[in-house]
Amino acid sequence: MNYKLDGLNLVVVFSDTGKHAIEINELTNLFTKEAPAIFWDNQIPTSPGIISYQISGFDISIFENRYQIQSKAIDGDIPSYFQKTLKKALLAAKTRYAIAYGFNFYFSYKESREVKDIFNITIRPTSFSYQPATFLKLTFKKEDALFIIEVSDGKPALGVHINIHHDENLVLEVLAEKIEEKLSNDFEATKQLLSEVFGIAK
Amino acid sequence: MLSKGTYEEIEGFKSTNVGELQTGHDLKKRYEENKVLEEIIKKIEKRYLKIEQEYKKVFGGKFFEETYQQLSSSKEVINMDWQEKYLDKLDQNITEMKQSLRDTENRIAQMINQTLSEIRDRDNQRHQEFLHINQKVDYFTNSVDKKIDEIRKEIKEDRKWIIGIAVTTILGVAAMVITVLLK
Repeated sequence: MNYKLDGLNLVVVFSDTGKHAIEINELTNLFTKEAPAIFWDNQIPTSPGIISYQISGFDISIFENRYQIQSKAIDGDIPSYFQKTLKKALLAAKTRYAIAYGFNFYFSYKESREVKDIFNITIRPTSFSYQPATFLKLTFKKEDALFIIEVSDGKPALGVHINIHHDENLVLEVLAEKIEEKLSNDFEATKQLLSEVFGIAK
Repeated sequence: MLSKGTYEEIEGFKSTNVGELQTGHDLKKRYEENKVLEEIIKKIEKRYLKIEQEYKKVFGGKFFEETYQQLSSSKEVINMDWQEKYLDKLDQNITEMKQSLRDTENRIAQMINQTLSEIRDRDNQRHQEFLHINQKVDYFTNSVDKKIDEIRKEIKEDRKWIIGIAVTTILGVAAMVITVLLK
């Protein structure tokens, strides 16, 4: 069963609304070949903000106390520039405190299978009928991280979303320093979990 | 360290779970929705301040001050409790407002759908009527064409008879003239 990474993001939960302390100037020149679309009102610190590199498929947003850095995947993998750009985006808010952070990975499967097939759920056709667009959620734990898997079918292909949640208090400058390693570890753990849960190998 | 172990427990304030991959367009839409909410909250805050001012006018500023003094003269815990309750209440109000807005949005969407559906039905009805009228006009036109053809045919036949009678009459008159002259 072949799976492909469609996109990923990092969500950082601030201890309070941290928009006012984000150095927006450091977020507007992350890509030399593209100028971003900016929706960012500095006059209202509690209002949301978005910096969107539409061609590169890279977006930074803040809604309430959630700072989100996301990118679409390239050739089914994490873009090569993502780690460094992620670090820069975190350093733009280096003085803020995070109370939690987590990665979200979004996969799709070429083979259009239904959720019930993956887990061999069989029911007598005379008793109940299966409804497509089913959604299933599973939770796992490894060391200090919580892995939440959401499997859904019916949208052109089967989709799997994995959230790796870290409940950790730290300043963003510290998080920025170790984010590359965290991303690499979490992505590897995600692939391992996918293999174990679905019995699949890329 | 994970202080809480299950998905349900981390849901909410600290959740990092984003169910679907959002595009720049999705984020912009969310941004615009938030801006609308902000405007509404601002209006509510303004209204709240106005009510507070009116209250102060009536009670000479005593109501809020006395209530606050009573609370602050008690233990700090009670004060904190009051603040927490106030924030909870505010939070609850905002949540209710958001829900109410969503409900309104759903109702409007439903109304729009219903109206569109009615318009579509009426449009289909008008189209059917138009087709029916068109059919009738076609039938009428065909019938008129047929009648005209028949009349033309009759006129043609009549013309032939008239020419025949005219020729016969001319020949008869000529025969009579010749007979008279020969005598």
